[in-house]
Amino acid sequence: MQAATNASSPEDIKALEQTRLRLQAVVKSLGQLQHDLAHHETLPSWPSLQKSSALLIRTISSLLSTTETHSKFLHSAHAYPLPTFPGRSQAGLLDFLLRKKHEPSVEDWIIEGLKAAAEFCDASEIEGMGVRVGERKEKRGLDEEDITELWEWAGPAENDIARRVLTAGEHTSDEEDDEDEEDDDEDADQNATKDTQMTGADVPGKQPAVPEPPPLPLATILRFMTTGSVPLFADPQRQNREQMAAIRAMSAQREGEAAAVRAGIATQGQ
Amino acid sequence: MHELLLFGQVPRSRHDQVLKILAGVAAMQPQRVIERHIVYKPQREPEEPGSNLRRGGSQGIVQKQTKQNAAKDLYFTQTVQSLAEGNFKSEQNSSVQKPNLKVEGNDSGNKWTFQFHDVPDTGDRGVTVRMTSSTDIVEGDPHAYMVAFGNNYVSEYYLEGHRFVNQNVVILLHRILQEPGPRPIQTSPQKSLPTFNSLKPLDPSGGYVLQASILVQDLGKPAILDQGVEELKRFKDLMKGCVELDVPDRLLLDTRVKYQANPFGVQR
Repeated sequence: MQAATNASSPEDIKALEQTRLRLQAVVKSLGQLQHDLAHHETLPSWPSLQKSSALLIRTISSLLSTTETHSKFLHSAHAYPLPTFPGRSQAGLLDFLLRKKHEPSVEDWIIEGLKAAAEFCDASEIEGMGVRVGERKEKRGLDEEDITELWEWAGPAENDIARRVLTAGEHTSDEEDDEDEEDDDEDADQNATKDTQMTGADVPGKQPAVPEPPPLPLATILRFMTTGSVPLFADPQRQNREQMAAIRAMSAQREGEAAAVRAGIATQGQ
Repeated sequence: MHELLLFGQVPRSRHDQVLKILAGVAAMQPQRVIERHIVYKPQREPEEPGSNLRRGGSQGIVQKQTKQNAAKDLYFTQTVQSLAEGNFKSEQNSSVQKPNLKVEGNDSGNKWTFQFHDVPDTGDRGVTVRMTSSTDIVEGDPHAYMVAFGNNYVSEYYLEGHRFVNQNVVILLHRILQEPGPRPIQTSPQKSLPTFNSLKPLDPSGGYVLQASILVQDLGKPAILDQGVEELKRFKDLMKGCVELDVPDRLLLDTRVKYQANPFGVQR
């Protein structure tokens, strides 16, 4: 390419080459991510999304560190097209190379990013681009230091918790041993009570005095939720049972009457 | 939006246990959910099924009309207000019948949503699939809006429970609460909320319902639907032995207004 001055040293060319490689990597991982998101019918799983975003962040940060180390040269470098450059056929590329300012859309992105950063970031040195970085909104609770502090605390704390959870089965010290045993005892007690509750066995003193009424059938609840009223015949089985009970009661009554009549006849007969 | 659903029942005695199990499964703290549902029914009575077929002579032109007049179904709809315990009347001033000036809809904290659930799809996929739509009501009086659209107030109930999210499955462990006592005949919802503790569960045993759902944007893509069904079934298997999740009869979730024969012709 026609970039750089004629007196470019091999180091400068190396810097350009490195930057190009890094940029290529960023473009590649961005393209990959875009492809994954757009062309698969189902979203990729969370772990794979996270992996590709982590990869992207790593390539971007390596790009940043490369441009940082060569920032002096890259700032002073300018593109001078040679007469042999095919200006007619590659006009777009030429424009792009010679343009000193950002494209308007790119500028918008930068402002957007700065605005997002301004909400929790105090650094006033990235002022410019029309965004007042120093003035952050009072509503936002956390600023840069708070977030740093939080994560400095949260990382180790989370590790502690995770270690305790992961090694719960192993006995590391005597104190924990005792605690575990107590826990076990409690668990056992709880399990016992739960078991009895689940099997419905009567434990004097533990059960409520009034037995629980039978649960309403799910059907009734769903019907109520959709139509807002209790269906007239909630449970055909129960209806049947009640009917049978009524019939039985009626026949028992009749039998009683018949018995009384018979008894009456018997007494008359005597 | 479509919803894939499974339901299960949890007796009251096991509620706390199931809550803890779900918290472990979903790896999150239970999120308190209190909603007030107001059920509406269209003012128009549904036509007798098949009545449009009997009427008229045998002219060809009637045939055409029949096609146009194919009885449209009428549906129950709901407005839902999401509440917090603080929204309810506090215990102290419950004795003083002070009209609560918090007219619904005006308070930005009390969000109202218009909800419509279609009849679940036919076809056995192992889960209930139904179309739902819910629209947030940003301002105004939701009741006036519903009435203006030709709906009648039917009743209201409160839904109380906890919500979890496990991957794509939204788990709602809830029960239905009602105001105690016989329901007064009224045509508009209560202007003020009762105290929370005065509400009585619909189920006298105080049991809870576990609802597991997955929202699917578009049924046009079978791969996504299959994935949703698969995930919901996996959750069902996961809960096996704890709560039995099952598919209710689809007609239990039927939101269509039924035609009721009215032999005496009395307009109700």
